[in-house]
Amino acid sequence: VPSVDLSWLIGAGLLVGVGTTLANGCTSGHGICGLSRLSPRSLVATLTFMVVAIITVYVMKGLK
Amino acid sequence: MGKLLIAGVAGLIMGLGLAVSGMGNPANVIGFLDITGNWNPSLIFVMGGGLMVTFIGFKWLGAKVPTGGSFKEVDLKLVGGSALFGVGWGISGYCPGPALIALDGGSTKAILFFVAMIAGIALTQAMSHLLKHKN
Repeated sequence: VPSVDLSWLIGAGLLVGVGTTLANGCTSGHGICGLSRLSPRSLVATLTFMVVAIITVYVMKGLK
Repeated sequence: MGKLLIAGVAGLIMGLGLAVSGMGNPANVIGFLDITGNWNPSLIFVMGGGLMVTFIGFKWLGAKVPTGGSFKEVDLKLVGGSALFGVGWGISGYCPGPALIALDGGSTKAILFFVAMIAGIALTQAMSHLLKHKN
């Protein structure tokens, strides 16, 4: 079970809010709806947040 | 059927799907993203299943669904925003939908995350509004 500090969690919430607003979509908007209608923008967005999230999890494991 | 009712039913189905599939549990999400460690691939089926149903549904709706677009429309806002989102998602295991359904447990973590997320959304909207009116 991931146990992150509450301050990290607040930072993560801010990043998710800012990021999804700038990108106009999240896992549902780009990952499901956008990909389902074959949108190139959504493909780029989905690949970007997937790869970045995988790297982030890897880095976070190293920090613990 | 009123639009409100349709939105309510769609929300109910989506919330059920997220809850039943375990997407509302950040441990599952982090396990899915942890491809170099103790990888938990179950969410592939959540994404894949969702994609399949939506793809077929959109095909069925036909012309009502906007299609097209091109890679030329990819900009820094899209890539940068997605990257920021990816960092936040990787740290917490919450993306916006699951963060919403996690609220029902009333956990401090879910509430804190949710409030911070709303603050991030409001801040970004306010900033882009300001920038738009400056130019």
